[in-house]
Parts: sequence; structure tokens; C-alpha cells
Amino acid sequence: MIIRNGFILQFFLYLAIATLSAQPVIFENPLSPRIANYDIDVELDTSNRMLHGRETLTWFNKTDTPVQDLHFHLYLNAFRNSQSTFMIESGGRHRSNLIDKDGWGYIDIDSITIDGSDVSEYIEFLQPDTDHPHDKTVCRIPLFHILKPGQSVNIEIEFTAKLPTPPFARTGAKAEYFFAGQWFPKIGVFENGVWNCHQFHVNTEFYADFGVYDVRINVPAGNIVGATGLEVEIIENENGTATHVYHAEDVHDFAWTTSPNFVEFRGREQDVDIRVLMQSDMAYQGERHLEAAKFSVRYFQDWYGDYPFPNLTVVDPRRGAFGSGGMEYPTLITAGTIYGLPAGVYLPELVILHEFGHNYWYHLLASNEFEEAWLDEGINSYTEAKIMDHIFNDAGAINMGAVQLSNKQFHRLRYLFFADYDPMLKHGWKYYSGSSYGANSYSRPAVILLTLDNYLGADVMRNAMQEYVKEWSFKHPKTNDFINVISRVAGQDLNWYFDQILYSNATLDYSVASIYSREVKKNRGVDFDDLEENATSDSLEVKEIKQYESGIGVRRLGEFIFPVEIELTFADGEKIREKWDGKDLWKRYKYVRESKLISATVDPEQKILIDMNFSNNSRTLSSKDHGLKKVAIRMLFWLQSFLEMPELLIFPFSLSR
Amino acid sequence: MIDYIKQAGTIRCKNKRLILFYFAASLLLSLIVVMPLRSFMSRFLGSSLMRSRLESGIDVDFLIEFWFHSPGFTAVLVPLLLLVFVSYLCINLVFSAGTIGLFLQDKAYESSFFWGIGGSYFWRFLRITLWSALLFIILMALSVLLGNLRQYFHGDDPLANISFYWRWARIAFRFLCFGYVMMVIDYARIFTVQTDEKRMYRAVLHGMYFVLRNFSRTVPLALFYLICGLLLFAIYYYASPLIAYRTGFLAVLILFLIQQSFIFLRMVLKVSLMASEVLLYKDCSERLMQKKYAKNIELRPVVPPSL
Ligand SMILES: [Zn+2]
Repeated sequence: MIIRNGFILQFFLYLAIATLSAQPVIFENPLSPRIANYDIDVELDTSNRMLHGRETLTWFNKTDTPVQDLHFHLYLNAFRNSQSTFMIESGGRHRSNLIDKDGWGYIDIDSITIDGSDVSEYIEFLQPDTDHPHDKTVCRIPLFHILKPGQSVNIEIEFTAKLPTPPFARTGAKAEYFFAGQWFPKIGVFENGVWNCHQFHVNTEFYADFGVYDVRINVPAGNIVGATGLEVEIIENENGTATHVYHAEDVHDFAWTTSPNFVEFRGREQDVDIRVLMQSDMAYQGERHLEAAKFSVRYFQDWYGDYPFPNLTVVDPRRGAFGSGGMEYPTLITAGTIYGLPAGVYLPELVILHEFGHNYWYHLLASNEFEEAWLDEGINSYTEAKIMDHIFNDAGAINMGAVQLSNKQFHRLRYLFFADYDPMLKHGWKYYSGSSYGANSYSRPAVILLTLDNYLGADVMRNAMQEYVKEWSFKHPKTNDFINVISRVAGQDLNWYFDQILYSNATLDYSVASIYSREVKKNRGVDFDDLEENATSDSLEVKEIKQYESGIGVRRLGEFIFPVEIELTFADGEKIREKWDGKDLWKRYKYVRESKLISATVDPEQKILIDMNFSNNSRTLSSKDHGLKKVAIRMLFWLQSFLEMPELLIFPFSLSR
Repeated sequence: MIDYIKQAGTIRCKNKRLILFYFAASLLLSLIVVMPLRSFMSRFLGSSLMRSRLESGIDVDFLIEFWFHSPGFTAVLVPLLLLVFVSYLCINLVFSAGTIGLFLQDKAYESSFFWGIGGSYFWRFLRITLWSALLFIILMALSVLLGNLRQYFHGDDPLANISFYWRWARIAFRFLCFGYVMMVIDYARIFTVQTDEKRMYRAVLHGMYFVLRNFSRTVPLALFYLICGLLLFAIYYYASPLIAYRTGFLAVLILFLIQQSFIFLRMVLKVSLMASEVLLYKDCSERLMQKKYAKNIELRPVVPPSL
């Protein structure tokens, strides 16, 4: 049974604490294999932004291969110096945030014992992905006894870490605000007989095994704390600090934040308790954030399946600390907004929905984001577009009067610019550029899946996504697992589609290349003229009905093949639909009818969002030009107005300086 | 102030043609940009249905396609815009010199006079513009001090709402500076034509002084025309949607007429403002003369009769 009711849960928790019995229980039956289980005490030194931690990891070898060593991520060492892989790849910049010149962060292992014996001196740094000898984001510790399948090992680590400032690449400190992500020595994933433990790259996220986390966070008394899992207890200490005790089950990471300036907003949606921690100066947007979190929970549970965790915490990053914004951790997400943001710019809504969506694709499914980022960010961008455009009537990004942008259009625009730089499936650090990684991990898979959604039908696709969640939660699915589920539910093998995307940079562009419609003339010349004479002299007068021969030529301009519909509209209002498999480079259609052909459109409903050019998708024989005239006179008017009011430039100029 | 506005109406009536000049310059120069832009778009759209869809309002798909598939477009548009902007500025220099000349002498439009003055003051007016641009840059730099002021009151790490309001304060300050510089330009020009001043920094200094010295008249006058302009825009803003989303040739024609009427009325305001400013300037400088003259008269009795 899964205990979901907040009251019952709290009762159990209090009971557990009161009786000083074993740790509280969230799920009576574990949801995941619980391979990596952490018990951590951490003390925050606010003035030096240091963390002093003691971690006990119980790790199970649940594979059928013996294990000879352990590999750990030391993510904070990405910010150790300019020679880390992260810094070399990023040039010190992440999502337009720069690290302070004295803002370095790091993590040192002070001591490590394995099943009681000290192995500190055997720590060895590895660089499995690149030739960056100074990178210290992965280390190896040998085991002196081979760990057989089914056995477990206890590792005790004492560590000291410094958070970067301002928060950079998701983690760090700014004044009184601290956000600790990737902050403790974290074991890699042992699979297929080897360790999957990559360096921290600028364009990669994470991969880890599930487990149970018990974390005691020591911060100044009076500080508010938000973290993965449930707050079990707050212990006030005599030295002016407080220890916040957190417990989380079946999660694969643990992040926390603290600040004395958080303003709390609480709510509940379906069976999830929601807690929003707003910065005090942004508290006026608290309800807006809470609403966004509520609809995120509602839509995801209704559309894609159960969110099994009892709570969700949304953190508003501090001003000057946006490096920690827009990020997902199990049951804890960070948002991001701007003071004075208009209601029609759905920035916080979009970020919260997106980050909550990760609690499915990143958290429940937990695919390897180093190697197959699209399974998280891409699927998430697709579900985000579906929900945002549904809620906000196809204006799911911006809705400001005449200016409307759907989430779909936003992703398609981003896709267009980097559609053909790389195949979609690559290791995160191997794309042509950060932009290509971004397009191939977010927007390209989003439009690919939106196109598939249109092709299979929204219901089929939603069923498939639900199946995927149900079947693969807590199992780290790979790309093929996803394709197999979709194919099975759709009742057709879809590898022909995914193969063109995953392993090639093929682009798709259909166009109507030609269109004509002309009156059918009688046949003339030798043989026909005689027939004609006889016919007119012999027969009675027959009223002639005009016939028109009409035709179009459609072309496939890209290498990507996808079946497409073509709609032809005739002057009498009749519409004909043709289906083309798109396998040849071109196809002609010809008709003889009593009515003239007016226009032809490939993909009339714009279902194929991966089409690189919508403007060549149609042709008409009766072009009305009022539209362009209207655009032209509008441009004329705005230019005339601007010539009279150049001072309007003060606005854009004043935004930054 | 009301007198200046009323009398400006009379002057404007005598010089209706001037409004047409300003209007024609705005229309023709803008066409230089819009015509190639239109044919660029026309070629891009070909005979597609996207072209027809443009009639029903802004089509984001069209904007996305056009942006993505016309990479050379901005490379053409930006220089063209700059060219038109500079040309418009120069033509306005000629026109404003001619206009001020006519208004100062309270004359009806006379071709040789208008173009003669326009040509002879062109370089001087250009120099006024450059000096004023320098003044504007200095004032803009002063707005950086607002940041220091914010820092003084709220430190390096102000709350988000405080930064927000200070940002608006900075924008407001910059608009005020712009308004002031525009008034300085106007009165410096009038001063130049009236006194035939050759040193333009002096004209600008005089303009600066004049605007501040007669603050209670110059500013309300400018504000009046500013408010008229805003009201006009408000009317346009609420009236144009009535027709903007209709289809057909007639709708396009009516929209065009509404828009151009708005621009025309803006030009009426522009010429009226100039007329009012000339009247105000004449009035103030006459008073000054009278004052000086009166002082001289008062001085006379001090002179000993025996001399
Ligand atoms: Zn994401």
C-alpha cells in the first residue's frame, strides 16, 4: 500500500519520531530497487559557504557481475578551477550566468572507509570521457574484497565542500540564500559489468540509482529549509543552529535549499501537498506559482500517470541567483520569474510545469541523461507543449493581445535553427555546440513527438505515454524501450520514423512545386478533324459542358520520409484529399473536372511540425493580395510613426543599462 | 499659452502646404523601405495560401518562416532603415529652417523664401543637432548616476521591487531628458534664424537657457502638444481594430486612410508646435527687449541734467 494521505502520513511520522523507532516509512513496498542508500549529516557554514558532511552509503550489487571498485561523482569539482571539464567546455559560462572570479566551488573527500577499513589514500581521479587531466569530478576507490552479486557494502565518507557563488550551473550560494545540488559524493551506476560514471560536462545532466535518503541538515536557527522528500523533524540546537531531518524513499538524488527570507505558500492538489518557497521580494507572485504547481500536478497525473510521492516543493531562486533556477530534483524543483512580469508571459508557469514534468521523465523513469538526454528533456518538452498549449488555448508561451506564441511554435523555431547539426541521439558532450545539444535534447524531440502525436492521434499517444510511465518507472529505460512501448500501443513498428531522427540529421520539407488548371480542348489534327466533322453533322446539338484539366506536382525537398496528406480545393468548393507516402522525390496528380482547381496544400492541418518550411506547402491559382497589402501598409504606418518618435528606442536601451 | 496655440492655428492656416511637405516626406521615405520589403515578402510567399492568410492578422507561422528562411533580409533592412532615418532627419532640417523663417516673419508660404532659408540654414541646423546629441549623451550619462543614488539608498543588492521601480525611474528620466533636448533644439533653431547666429554651441546654450528661463511657458506648451499626440494615438488605437481585422480591398483601403490620416494629424501637431514655439519665443524675447529698454529709460533720469 502506498501511504498518500497527508494526515495519515504525518501521523505515522510523528509516531515514528515519538517512539524513537526505526526511520519513518513512506512506501510500505519499495517502488524501486533501492541500490544506493544514503545517510548524511551536513552542516552549513554560512559565512564561508562551506558544507561539512558525513555520509554513510549502503550500496547493493544487484547485477550479476562481481564489482572490484567503486566510482563516485564529485560534481562540485566542476567549479574547482578553470581546468575542469565543465569549465573548459563552458568557458566559465552556463545559461548566460558567469561564475565570480573568487566564486569557485569544490568538494574534497577528507576520509573514506569501506566496511570499516580506511581507503582514503587509494582515491584516484578518472577522466573517462575526455582528455582533461585536471578534472576531478569522477573518482575511483578500489575494493579489497570483491563484491559478489547480491552483496552490499558500507562506505563512510567525510567530506568538505564549498558552494560556488553566485549559484552556478544549478548549485551555489548568494548572500543568505543557499541551494545545494550535486553537493555530496555520489556513487555512479554499475550496469552491464562496468561503471557508468561520467565527468560533469557543461551540456550534461545526471544519472543515478534509486535509494532511500536520510539527511540531517544543520543550518542557522530561523532559516527555512526546503529539500527532497519529507521534513520529519526540526531539532533546535543550543549553538543557535537547527537540524532539519529529511527522509526520502525511492529517489535518486537529494537537493536542499535554505534561506531566512523564504515566504511559504502551501496548497494541495489531488493527493500531493505543495509547498512554494518564494523570496520575500517576490512573494506577491506566490499564488501564481502555487496555481502553476497545482495545474502541473493535475495535468500530469490526469494525462500521464500517477505521481507516487506525497509532496512537491517549489523554490523561487533569489535575485542574482538565477543560476539555481529552472532545475529539477526529486520532489523539489526550482522555478524562476521576474519582478513586474506581465500575466500574459507564462514564464513561471512554463518553468514550473517543465520542472515538475521532470519528476516523471527524470525522476520516475530516470534514464541516463549523460547519454540519452532527449529521453528526459525531449519528452518533457513535448509534454510541456501539450499541456501549456491546451491550458492557454494555443498561446502557451506568450499571450499579450496581438502577440501570441504557442509553446509548439516556440519549440519549432528553436528546432529550425539547429535541425541538421547532429543526429538526435548522442552523448551530451559530443554535439556540435551547446545550441545543437539544446535543440536536439529539447526542441527537436519535442517537435518530433508532437508530429508523432498528430500522426498517431492524441489519445493513442497519451495511452502510450501512460504505458511507458507504468512499465518503466524506476527502471532507467533506454531509447529503444521508449520506441517499443509507443510501437506496441500504436500497433505499428515506428522504427522507420525514429531511425531517421536518432541516427541521422535528415530534414523534412514538402512543397507544392506546381499547379495548373486549363480548359480541355477538343482533340484536333489528322484523324481527329474528320471525326469532329462527322460528329457535328450527324448528332443533334448537345450543350457543351466545359471540362478542366488540373494538376499539381508535389516534391520532397529533404531526405526525411514521412507520409503526408494533400488537399486540393476546386472552384465549386469540392475538396479532394490524397495520401502520399513521400518515398519518391516527387509525385504528380492530375484531374479532369467541370470545375477549376483553386489551390493545393500538402499537410493542410500542419501536422508535420518537423517540416522545415511551411510557406512552400501550398499554392493557389487565385491569389488574393490584400493580405500582403495590409502587411505593407501596416509596416508603412509603423515606420512613419517611428521616424517621428525615435525616442521609443529609449525603452529597449534602458532594459539593460 | 492658449494665445500661442490659437495664433498658431492662424499661422498654420496660412501655411497648409507645409503640413503636406512634412507628410509627403514621411510617406515617400518610408515607402523606400516598405516597397522592397513588400516585394521581398511577396517573392518569399509566392502564390502560397500563407499569402492569403496574411489578411486575417499577424500570422506567427509566417513570421517564423520569414525570419528563418530570409537570413539576408536584416542585412538589407538595417542599412536601408539607417539611410531613410538619416535622409528624414536632413529633410526635416531643411523644412524646419524654412518653416521657422516663414513663421518668424509671419509670412504665407512663398516658395523661394522657404527653400532659400531651408538651404542656407541646413548646415547650421545640422550642427545644432550634433551639439544637441552631445547634450543628450551627457544627460543620458547622468542617468547612470541614478544607479549610484540607488546604490546609496539600497546598497549593491537591492530587492527586486526596488530595482524594478528604479529602472522605471531611469526610463522616465531619460524621456524627460529627451523632451528637454527636443525643446532646446527647437528654440536654438528659432534663435539661430532670428539672430543669424553662426556659432551653434551658443545657439544650443541659448536654447538650454531659454527653455529653463521660461520654464513655466515652454514646458506647458510642449506638454499640451504631447498630450494632444497621445490622445490622437489613443483614438487611433481604439479605432483601428474596428477595421484592421476585416477583409477585402475596401478594408485595406480604409485602414490605409485611417493610418495616413493619423500621420497627417501628427504633422499638423508638429507644425502647430513649431508655430506656437515661434510665437512664444518672439513674445518672450520682445518682453526682454522691452525690459532692457525700460531699464534704459529708468536710467536716463539718473544722468545729471547738467551733462
Ligand atoms: Zn528541463
